[in-house]
Amino acid sequence: MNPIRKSRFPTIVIAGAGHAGLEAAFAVSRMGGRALLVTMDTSAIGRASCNPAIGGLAKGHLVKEIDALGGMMGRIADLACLQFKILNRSKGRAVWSPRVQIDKVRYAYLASQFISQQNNIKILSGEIVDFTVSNNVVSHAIMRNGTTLNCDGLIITSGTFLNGLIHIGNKKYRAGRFGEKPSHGLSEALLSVGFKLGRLKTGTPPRIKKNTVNWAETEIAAGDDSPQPFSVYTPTPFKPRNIPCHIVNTNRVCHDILQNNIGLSAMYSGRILGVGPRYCPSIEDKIVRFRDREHHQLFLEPEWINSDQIYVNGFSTSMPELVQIEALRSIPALNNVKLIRPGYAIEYDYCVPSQLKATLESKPIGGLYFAGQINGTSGYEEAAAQGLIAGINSVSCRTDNHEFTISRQEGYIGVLIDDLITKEITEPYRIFTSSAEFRLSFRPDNADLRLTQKGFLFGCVSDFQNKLVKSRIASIEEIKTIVKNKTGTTANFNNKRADEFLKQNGVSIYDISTVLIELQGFKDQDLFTVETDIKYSGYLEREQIRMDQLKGIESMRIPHNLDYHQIGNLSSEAREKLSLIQPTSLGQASRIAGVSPSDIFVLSVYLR
Amino acid sequence: MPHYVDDTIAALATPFGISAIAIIRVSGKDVDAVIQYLTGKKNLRPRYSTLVDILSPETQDVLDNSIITFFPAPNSYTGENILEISCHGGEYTPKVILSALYSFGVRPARAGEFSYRAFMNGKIDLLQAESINGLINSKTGAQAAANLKNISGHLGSKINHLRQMLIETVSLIEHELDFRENEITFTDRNTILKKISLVSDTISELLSTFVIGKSLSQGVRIPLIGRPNTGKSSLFNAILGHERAIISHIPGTTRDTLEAWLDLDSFSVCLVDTAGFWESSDFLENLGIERALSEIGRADFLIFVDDHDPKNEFDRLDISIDQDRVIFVRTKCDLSSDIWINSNNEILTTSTRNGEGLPQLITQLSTKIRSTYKNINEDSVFLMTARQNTLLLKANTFINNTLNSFSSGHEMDMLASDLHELVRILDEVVGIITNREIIENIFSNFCVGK
Repeated sequence: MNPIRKSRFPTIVIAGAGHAGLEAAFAVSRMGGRALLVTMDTSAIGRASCNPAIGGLAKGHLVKEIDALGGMMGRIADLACLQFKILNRSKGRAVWSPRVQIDKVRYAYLASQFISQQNNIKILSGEIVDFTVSNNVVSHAIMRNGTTLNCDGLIITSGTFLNGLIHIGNKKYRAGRFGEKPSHGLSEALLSVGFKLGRLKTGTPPRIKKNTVNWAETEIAAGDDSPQPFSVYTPTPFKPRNIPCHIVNTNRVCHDILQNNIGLSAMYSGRILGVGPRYCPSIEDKIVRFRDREHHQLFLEPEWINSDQIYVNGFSTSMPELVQIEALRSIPALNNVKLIRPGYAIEYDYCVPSQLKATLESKPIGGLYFAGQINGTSGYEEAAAQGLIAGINSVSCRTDNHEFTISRQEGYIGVLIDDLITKEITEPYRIFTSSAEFRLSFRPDNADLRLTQKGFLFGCVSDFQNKLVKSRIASIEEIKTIVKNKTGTTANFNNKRADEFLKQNGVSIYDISTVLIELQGFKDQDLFTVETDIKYSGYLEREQIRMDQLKGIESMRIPHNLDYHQIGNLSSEAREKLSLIQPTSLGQASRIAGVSPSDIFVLSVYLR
Repeated sequence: MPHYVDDTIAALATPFGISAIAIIRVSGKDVDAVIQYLTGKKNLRPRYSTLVDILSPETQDVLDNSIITFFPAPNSYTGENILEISCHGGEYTPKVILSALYSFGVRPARAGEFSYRAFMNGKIDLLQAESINGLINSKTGAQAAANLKNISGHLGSKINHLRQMLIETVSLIEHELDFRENEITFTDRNTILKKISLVSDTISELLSTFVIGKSLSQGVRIPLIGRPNTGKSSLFNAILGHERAIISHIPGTTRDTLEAWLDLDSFSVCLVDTAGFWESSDFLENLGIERALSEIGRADFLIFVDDHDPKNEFDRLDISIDQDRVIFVRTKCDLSSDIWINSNNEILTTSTRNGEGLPQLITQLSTKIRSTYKNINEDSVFLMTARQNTLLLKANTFINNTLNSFSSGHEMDMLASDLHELVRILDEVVGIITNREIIENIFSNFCVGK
């Protein structure tokens, strides 16, 4: 599906200025294109709809990868940081997840400033409701006020706004987000050219008034003592604020209130599952699924510095407002609490992402890209990662037909996109570390080592950033050389080689650097990377072997529009799924639900 | 091996040669057309034996009067359409029917191809496939019974149970890695350790069955070793004669040996005559010793033979083998005038000329075999092939490493990775393998028609 006309300076229209839209616009600009960022409300640019935090389990990994490819999320998060914490500290370095609580107002402000300062990004106020196609390629984007925008590409990053419908208990009303109008028209335009859409629901917790909380009865949780920035652009030493957040616990009474009113919850699915789906959206789901738990933790997080508005993390719900108040008030610290805004569920249109290529360009129409919650994902980080990829490709596919893709063997962005285009969406997709087969190889600290140079060669990473990573790679090599060639002479080392000694549990590279003093000149983050690589070396080798083994099956291309009905001996379910999804490689085919190993055998013979 | 899954294949399922009946098996999507081509008949009633005339396609002459049965997919051995033709046996009729089939475009099946298709269509797993092959090759009742057990899936379900336990454990860990403390309750490390230890114990248990399984499937191997001209070959023949084994002096799997099979207490015993190892009378000649040691390495038991002092000669060789597995025999006792004092009754004296000592020798052999393999009972499940054993050994080493690392403080993310790898090894045992070559290799060792 190649666009017919090449363009040296493509104009890309981006519908929506949320996290996906911003990354897309910034990427377009870095790649030498011109971005028209269209938003219904210029004061809502970069608004965080829900959680006042960036990063977290697996999401922190995404933010590092976005930064490694030159994206902006990490930089802004560092600047708007209220508290930094690494989650999962007790579980192993591959899953240490950086998370930053942000000042939402400051974040949005900084994001908006940042994007306006970029070359070749123009912000337009308005709403995209339609587009035209010529020769199977997008040619114009059409706004509600009638303006027609000539474009070489259109990236739809409309978030939850398409035909958005908010549910609070029984009340329903149309909105894109609380207090914001929804968008109409674009869904219909997509349907009219044959796109398949679906509906999803996602939830958000209530916001409560700060001075109605008995803060003395809450538990205090401060951030880490040595915070680390997400972005290489953030100057070190990184000394952000360290505003504590506060913890309370639900209790039996609270659970009973919720249980008794469960039928009034708009979002509660009614399914009770065991150790099953890992996505746990609402407090209703939690109390049903984990019936035996007496308490669930709730984090009271300020939405911005000195804000009156406190976000109740862990209490996502679509119960009626009165039930929410009653349940919260059963918690001692919250017995006088008043809501600023109730929790709600939002229902919205999404575009089934198996209609997309790994570049996030749609399969049927050239130049039309989808990124963010419109693809059925949930989370700012997931949205931003998609925006980045779509933005890069919208330009590179137009200037010289080059596709920029990240594979499952390269990082979480690859896992995210491959999952989206291959698997069926039944609930909002969220990235988990367990989605990655090569979790031990994809750490937050090595995102730059994995991705930056690839990005630089492609044109989406600056010279400055590339030089930084090159220097880091050189330092790491030096440290490794020292550690692998020196034997310790002290009793501690037991005459082992330094790297052998380092593999032991409880030994750190700082223990070694007291003996090998040449290590003392290096940066902490480089020492950390080497130490971790050495401790995990057996596992990393094993993952590398598996990656090599999979290369064969991943690189076996499946021709476009293959007629699966012509191939004998495929199961009928496989035939149906393969025809629907049209995987591009045998590897992708193997990940489709309903395609068995023997179906893959049959295909591999056919393709030979 | 290029493999076309689209073809219809055919092969003789019974051995070639003079026999009353032969069975030809045809499998594939064109079976309907084949039936019509060979017999003129359409819409044959499924699973119903039908007497037909098989006609020559060119001349319409009757090639044979056969009984055919049609098994429509998917309820057949291979999961495809199958036609079984029971025709008259012999060297001619099956051949001419096969020719007719080939001229229609049916392809000659490769070794193991029917079972391969059965496996690919999910009708059997790899363990069952191996057991079917094992059953066909069974020489004794015990061997057949063990294979039947595995065909019914007993071994497969044991392994799948282990896989399930590991998958549950790793899912639990993955769950914990993906959620924060306040969202779910964590399992404590000891519980996890216990689950993994349980799996480890079961793997060890299974491994210990290979001693018997190997003997069942490959026979109990017992060589006769001793100095030249001490009557090994005579003893060899005498034992076989006593047991009324059919002697046909089959050359052994090793050069210069002769092997013969006998059924001892429902164990298949492979007796090996190593008389050919020594070309000269020099017992300690290097090449001979080398061969002897190598043969001993493969042996399950050993009969050490000498016409004077078997113990002494044995000690001179300095072989490291558990003496429980050795029976010392002093031959030609009718010739010797020495009064031989047997210490501990460990040495048997025999004379092949007058038959003295032979029954006692056979009894000793029986006893030794029985006591070693005494644990076969109704519920036992055995590993039967080297492939199964090798993979479980790999799993065993791996799980022990995992337990050690985890006990000494390795993190959960590493443990998850280890457990996934372990599941992959067990996957290979039952045949969930993505490497086509490995599978094809396994099936190519079956015989044609299977």
